Formats: sequence, C-alpha cells, structure tokens
Amino acid sequence: MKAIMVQDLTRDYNGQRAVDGISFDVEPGEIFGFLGPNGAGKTTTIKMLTGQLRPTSGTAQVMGCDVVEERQALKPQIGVVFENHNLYERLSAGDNLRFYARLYRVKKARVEEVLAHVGLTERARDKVGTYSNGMKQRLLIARALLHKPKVLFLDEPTKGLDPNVARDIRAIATELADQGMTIFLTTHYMEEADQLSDRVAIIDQGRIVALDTPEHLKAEYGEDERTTLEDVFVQLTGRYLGRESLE
Amino acid sequence: MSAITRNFMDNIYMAWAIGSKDIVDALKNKNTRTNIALLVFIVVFFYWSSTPRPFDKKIDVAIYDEGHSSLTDLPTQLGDGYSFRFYEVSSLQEMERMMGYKQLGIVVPSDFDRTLEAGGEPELTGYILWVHRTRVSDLELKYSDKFSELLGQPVRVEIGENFVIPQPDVETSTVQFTILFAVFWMAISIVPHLMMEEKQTRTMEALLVSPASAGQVVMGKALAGAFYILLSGGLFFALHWAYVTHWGLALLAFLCTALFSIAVALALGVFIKSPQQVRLWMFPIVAVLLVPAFFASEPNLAVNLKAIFSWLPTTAMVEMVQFSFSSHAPLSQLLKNLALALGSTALVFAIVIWKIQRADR
Repeated sequence: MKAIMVQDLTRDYNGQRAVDGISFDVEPGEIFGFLGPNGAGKTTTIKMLTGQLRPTSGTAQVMGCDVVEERQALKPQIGVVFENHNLYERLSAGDNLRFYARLYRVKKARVEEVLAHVGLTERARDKVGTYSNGMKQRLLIARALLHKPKVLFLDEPTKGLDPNVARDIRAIATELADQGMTIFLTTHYMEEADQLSDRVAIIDQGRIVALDTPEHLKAEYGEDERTTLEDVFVQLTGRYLGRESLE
Repeated sequence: MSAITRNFMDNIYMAWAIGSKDIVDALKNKNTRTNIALLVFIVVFFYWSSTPRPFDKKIDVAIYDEGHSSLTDLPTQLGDGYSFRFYEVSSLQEMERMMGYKQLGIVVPSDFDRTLEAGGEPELTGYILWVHRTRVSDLELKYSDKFSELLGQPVRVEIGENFVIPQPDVETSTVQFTILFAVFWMAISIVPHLMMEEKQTRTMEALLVSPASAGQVVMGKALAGAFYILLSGGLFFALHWAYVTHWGLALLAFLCTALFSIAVALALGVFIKSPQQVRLWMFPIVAVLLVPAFFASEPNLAVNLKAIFSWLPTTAMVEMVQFSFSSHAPLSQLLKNLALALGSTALVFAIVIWKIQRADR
C-alpha cells in the first residue's frame, strides 16, 4: 500500500483554480519534498490531504483512507507540523501536549516521551508564550508525534529558525524516516529539500511541473554537475516572472 | 455498546476534553476575567438595587381602609426623614395587585379611629410580598415603629404570614430581566472569543486534524460557555432565591435562556471572523434581543410594539422567569413561551450546524 495516493486532485477557490489536477504517490518511509513558489498550491494540497479542505474533484488516500469519505479514520494516521506556531500560548508545553493526548486518547506517559524526544523536558512547565521560535517548532513536532502517526506532514518546518535549530529539526525528520515514518515536506529551502528528500515534486500555479529524485531533476534540467535543486526550481517556476518583467 | 451510544459517548468525551481545556484557558485570559468580574458586579448591583436599603426612607403603602379612617389624612412626613406614600384601594384583591412595587399593604380595621380615640393600641394587618418573607419580624417592628410615630401613639402592624404572591401579569421588580442579561452577557462574551481565538491563533487547524470533529469543537466551546453560564446562574439564584415560587419553572426558564444564549454565541463565533466584528455585532444583537425584552411588560408601551416584542424569544424567556416568581403560570402563555424559546434555539443551532458542516468547503 502506498502511504499517499493522489489522483487528479483539484481545488477551486472563488472561481480560481488553486490546485489543478495533480497526481502523485508517496511510498511508505519516504521523505517526499513538495516544493513551489508562494501561492503555488502547496498549503491547499496539504489541507486536502489532511482532511481540512474538501477537494473540488479528484481523489486522495492517505494510508488507505479516503481524505473525504474516511476523514475520521485518517486522523490517527497523520501528524501535522503547521507552518505557523499554532499552540496555546497561555498554557505550558506539558498542558498543550496533555490536551492533545486526551484528544488522541494516548497515555500521559507518552507526553514525557515526546518532550524528551524534542529536548523540552526541562521547560515543560513553562508557558509556551515564553518560548523561542525554535522551542515552539520543537513542541509542534512533539505534538505531531504524540500519537505515533504513520505519515507526518511538515509544512515549512525550518522557516525562520536559526541554523542550529534548523539542523536539529532536519535530524529529527531523518531519524523519523529511518524509523519508517512517511514524511511529506514543504519547504522554501532548496538545500534542505535536496538534503532530506528521497523524491521531490515541484508545483507551480496548481500543477506539478516536475517529480523525481533530486539527482534526476538536477541531471534532467541542469547544465552541469554544479546545478543545484534551486537552479532547477528557478528554471521551472521562475520563467513566468521573467517573461512578465520583460514584457 | 451500540454504534449510536458509542458515537454519543465519543462526542461527550471530545467535547469535555475541549471544554475543560477552554474553561481553564479562559481563566488565564485577561479579557475573560474582566468580563466575568463585570458580570458579577452587574448581577450584584441589580440585586442591591432591587433590595430595600437602609437609606430608602420612602414607605409606599397600598391601603385598604374599610372604615375610611383618618389614617390617610395625616401628614405623611416623619421627623427622622421617613415619609409615607399612601395608595388607597377599594378591595383586598386590588391591594394585592397594586403591591407590585409597594413595600407594604395595610388593611385598616373599621374600628381603627375609635380604638385610637379610646387610647388603645390599634392593630393594622400588614401584607408584604412573598420575596420579603424572611424579614417578617424586622418589618413588623419597623412599620409598627413608623406608624406609631405617624399617629403619635402605639400602633401594632401585624404581618404574620400575609405574603402576597404576585399574579403572573404583575411585575414586582426587574429581577427576571437580570437572569437573561447575565446569561446572555456571559455567553456572548466568552463563547465567540473562544472560537475566534482558535481561528486567529490557527489552533483550530490543529484541532481539526486531531480526532476532534468540527462539531465536537463547537460542542466543547458550548460546554465551556455553559460552565460559566452555570456559575452566573448560580450567583443569580443565590442572590434572588427568595423570589422563586416555582423552582421547576425557574430552572426550565434558566435552561431555555442558557441554551438560546449559547446558540446565539456559537452563531457569532462561527459566522464572525474577528473580535472587532463581534464587538460591532454585539450592539445590534443586544438592541434587538435584550432591550425589547426589558420593555415588553412596560404598561405604557404602544400596543403594536407590545405585540411585536411578545414574539421575541428573549421576551418569552423573561416572562417564563416572571411566571416562576408568580402565583401560577397561565398554561397557554407558558406553552407559547416555551415553543418560542425552544423553537428559536433549535433554529439558531441548526444554522450553526449547517455552517460547521460547510467549514471544509
């Protein structure tokens, strides 16, 4: 069974097509990079795959669960690390996690485990409002891992973080993938995508314009061995801006 | 366990998990604490303003004077700043009806003047509203003292168990409005903000990818609101318990008011996108739902307005509370009020559910 199966997935917003008939599969244990410029449809796709948004047409399954018809069955299978730090800032990290532990019906001992996993045990009693961005990001990961999901969605997990914290987050992602967790990663950092992803899909204006391993993409679109994933990305998604500017 | 029971239990579990988090989290919010403190102040203030205070020196008396005695011809001003205001009535029934806002009803015996002239100690039969029943001995003492001062010789006011339970169409205070205001205020100052905050901080997204459904999230918010509404109801009844003649009806009216307020608050929470908009909408909602309920029983209100106001659910709820303070509840009117209250609550809840079901579109 594929971890994620997407077929002709489309989503319209007020007459505008945000996601336009995309199709792809993600294998279990794979880190799948989903890249695209702002407004390309990345977040809309994640929202559809996590059951927050109903597709206009097409189908998607995550761990065999249809994202529309089997949304409740889907929820325990997935963990989501959101782009924004959506935590209860007046509550402590422990209270935040204990609340979600109740929703997921996992034992409270698991809270201590995930806190230790992301290195927040010492500050577990502090209000989240007093945390740095890096600590909040760690807590978001802890929350997403609380119920041991099969698929983890990481939406811009290292955005705005200092290099040391970003490296820690990447190490956690790699470790989780090594343990068999499927990771669906969106990021603006091409180097990060290149380093982490087994395969990469580049989405632009709602359509997937390229999907392959970073090495194949670089080989296919690059001019020499110095070509980076960023070069490929710019080549595939930046041309419109260039044309518009020239015109 | 059947699927329906399991589903029900699951809904309760999730709603409680979310609600209990919100109950604690709301207390950590400065705005919520301010709103709760303000509400407590308002409820206590209304209680204080509806209670006879030591510096109230006007004694309003409805007098049924069978023998047309000289009592009401006397000057009404007393030396210690107290003054009497007499309202003469022609029957005991009229006296009881008139005692809406009067502190005291007095039946003057036909031989009152003769007893006075003979130097005896005449006895006036006093009537007080049911709500003051715990203060009989104090009031007997106070009124005997004041009437003695007025007449210049000893007079005894005997109240005993002469308690007037108001008729359902007689208002004795504005207390019945206080419960509507308290519950409504609590609901719309807490529930929409709980939902708004989840949307603004985007914790709603995390909730919706958790096993909690959108409906359970809303139920959780309603539960948190219900907790604070129960507290405000508890405070209200702790202060105003003496008004209640029918506890079953009082609790039913409170329940209807609570459900309706929660439904309106949830509607605000799901339809409105920012706290600024909530504040903007609060005024028209209060103007449409609370102000008419306050004025609906005003005797001088235009007939057309009275008829319109009587169809508002909030007016129906206030009237139900008033019935619970009265001698009896007219069945047809009670049923109409109940239908209005529950019907409008069901309608608002249906709109909220419809909106929630469309949240992923």
